[in-house]
Amino acid sequence: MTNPELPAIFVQQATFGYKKDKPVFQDVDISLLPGDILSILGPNGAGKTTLLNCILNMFPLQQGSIHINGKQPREYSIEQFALEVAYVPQIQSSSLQYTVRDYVVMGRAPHLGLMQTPGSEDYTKADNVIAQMNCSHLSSKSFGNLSGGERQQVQIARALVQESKIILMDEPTNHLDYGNQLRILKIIVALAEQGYTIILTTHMPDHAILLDGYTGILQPGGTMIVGHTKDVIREQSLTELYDTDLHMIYIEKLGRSACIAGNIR
Amino acid sequence: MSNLFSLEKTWTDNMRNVVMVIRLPRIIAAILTGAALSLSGATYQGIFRNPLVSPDMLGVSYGAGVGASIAILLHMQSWGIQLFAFLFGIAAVSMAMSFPKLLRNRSTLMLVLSGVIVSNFMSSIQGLLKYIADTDTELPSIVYWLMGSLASAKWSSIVTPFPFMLIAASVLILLRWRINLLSLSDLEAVSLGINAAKLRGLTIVCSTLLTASAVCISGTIVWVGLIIPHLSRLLVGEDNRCMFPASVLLGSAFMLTMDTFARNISSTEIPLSIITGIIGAPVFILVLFRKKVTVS
Repeated sequence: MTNPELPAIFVQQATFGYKKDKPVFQDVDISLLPGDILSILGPNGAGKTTLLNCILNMFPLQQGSIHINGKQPREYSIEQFALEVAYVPQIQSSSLQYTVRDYVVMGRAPHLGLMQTPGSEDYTKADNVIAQMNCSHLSSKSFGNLSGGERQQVQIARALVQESKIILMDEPTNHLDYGNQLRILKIIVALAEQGYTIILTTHMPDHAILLDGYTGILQPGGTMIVGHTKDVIREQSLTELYDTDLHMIYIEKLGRSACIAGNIR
Repeated sequence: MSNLFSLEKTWTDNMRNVVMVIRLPRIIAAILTGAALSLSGATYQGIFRNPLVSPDMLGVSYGAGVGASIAILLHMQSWGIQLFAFLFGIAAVSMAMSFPKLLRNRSTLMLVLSGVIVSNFMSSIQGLLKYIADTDTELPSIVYWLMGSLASAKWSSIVTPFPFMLIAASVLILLRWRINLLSLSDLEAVSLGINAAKLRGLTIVCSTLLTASAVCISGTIVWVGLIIPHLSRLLVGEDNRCMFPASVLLGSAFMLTMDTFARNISSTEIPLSIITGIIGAPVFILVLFRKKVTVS
């Protein structure tokens, strides 16, 4: 169905600010094909989440345009839009007592009518996705009792069951231990290989390097540098971005560079 | 109650009157108000993501109290009191819902805050009305109305609110899975294709209709709308697909039992709200204790 030539996400000259003359980001250009990954880096408060929310059609742009699979967000109804774009929120500290199965099946909402409740077909889909995420053992556990890493996997499962080919993730590796961070990154790479287009925000330059693909650096002034990760993530740009002594060091054993902080003593 | 089941012609006209004119409407009123208050409490708790919320949250009972008091001060008939209670209850919630719109802040917290403001405003008006009421005739009627009772329940007082209750309850029951989704953040709900603000508005309208209808039958009754959803949640879990029907059943059973107590526990009738409070609180504690619930 998806045309390989047509960008899944096409953002042109996008500008948005909560107040008129104070843009959070300006003139942002993004063009992603199905299967692309874009990692957005930026210091706290730079507007990474705001940018995601704009692509999710929560706030209207002040200037510029967004096209999702060739159409502007406002041309979709809320339900149709949810069939195009899924969203994985930051890990929730909620005490939701739904079972993992019931939580994941919520992703079927855009496929169901207003008064419909999910049927056995929807549950089969949820079960399949839960199995795909290796979470079958959690199926009947309560979402509120899961660990951070488990929650994140279950949240991704909910986005997958939505069957939208574009997934936006807000800091998917936040609050996770090192092993779980890498587990989530592997999942993201696997999804991109299946043709999902993924935009995520992160605080870790190394994660962008590991994911490869594209990186956008959202600078405090609101401009975003977008390009292949290798071209964008450089010692100088990172040092300026975070105003910290950072070093890009080539690690021969792994055949890639890593971002290392300078000594602090 | 047993009169309901004896179907052989063994009764006198007098017995028939007691059952059909006095007892049966009262039983039905108890079932309806119990179910309505519990269901609207369950809905409110879900959409405000807070288990301490009761159907009074947005001021419906306070508004209804003011309406009833005005009607009593104007010496209206019982249907007038009902009508005024109903309308003022709805007016109070409309006020509470309009503030977030005027202030262009549609967050849940803003709505809760304006509910608190409206409730306090209404209870001040209530105080003023009590103050100017005639202490011999009007004041006792107001106080008695506010304590809640089903003693005056008649067919005529049930028939008018019933259709509203039926429609509102049906909508809520049909939407119960969608209402689950409102317990997520608004951003998540929207990303799942739900118009969160609209759905929340619709469910508030339905819950308000339910509470206002219940209050205009029985006066203010505390506790039911707060504890019954909790008990249901303990029994069947958080999922509204089971929790809403459980609340309806449990609420009507609870109210019927409480009203029977109110009627029989002493030679004079005790106001229902006092009974629900006195019996409800210990029962609730007992259940929390037995279930060793962790409330977070």
